[in-house]
Amino acid sequence: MTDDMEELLQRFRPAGPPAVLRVRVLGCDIPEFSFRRRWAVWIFRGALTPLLLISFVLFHTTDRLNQDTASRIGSGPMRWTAEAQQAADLIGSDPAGHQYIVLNFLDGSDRVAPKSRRQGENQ
Amino acid sequence: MVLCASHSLAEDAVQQTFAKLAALGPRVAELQSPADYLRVAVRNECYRLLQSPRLATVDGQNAAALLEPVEAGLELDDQRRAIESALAALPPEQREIVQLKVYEDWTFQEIADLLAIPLNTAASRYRYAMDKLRDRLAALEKDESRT
Repeated sequence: MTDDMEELLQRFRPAGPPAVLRVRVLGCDIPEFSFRRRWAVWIFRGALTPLLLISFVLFHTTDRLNQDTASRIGSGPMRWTAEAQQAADLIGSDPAGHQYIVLNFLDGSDRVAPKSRRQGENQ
Repeated sequence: MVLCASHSLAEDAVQQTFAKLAALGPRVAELQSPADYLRVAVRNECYRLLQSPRLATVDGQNAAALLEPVEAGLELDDQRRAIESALAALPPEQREIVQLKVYEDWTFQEIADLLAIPLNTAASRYRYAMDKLRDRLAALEKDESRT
């Protein structure tokens, strides 16, 4: 009795996935995907390179500015003017105050600190 | 798909199963038999979806063909629709056995092992399914002859 039904059922088979789905799943191009990923890596590297270059240039520029400033301050003789003395008195007479005055109020020709103050600092 | 009796439910079941597999991550490699695991996981997912009343309603409205003729060019559309309707009316447990026996050519012993049921239960479920299919097809034929 079941044989006739089996025979009837076997005229058919379960329908497969729709053709669109088959193409979407089996037609997936993996090499293209990895190619895109490689491009993403190169774009990242391309963006990183100028950033590194800019930071390198900025580092050297600030380094040169620091060296210029250090050479301006120097350890050579400094001439202490009345204006500088007044300014130093206003902000205090500790060594940091003297350095501030030298940097902001004196040009290269005036860098001579008063003997009494330099002696005081050395003590 | 015969178990779900619906394209959309079957697709959902497969998608959910693969999502769970993806969540396993590298542990997938530890599976003893990935094919068996996949089969059982999809089956469980089908039953889970079939128990959802909301999805069962959607299932009933699905009009996509579940079966296709083995020999191309045969005009079997009416017959196909009748068989699909009769299959959809079966309980999922019986539909599953019909699929395994008729369309995957499994023995009752293999079916019993997969479903963890006695051999006699597998055989009787198949017999009941065939009886119901026959009755249903006869009823459909009678309805058609009336109209």
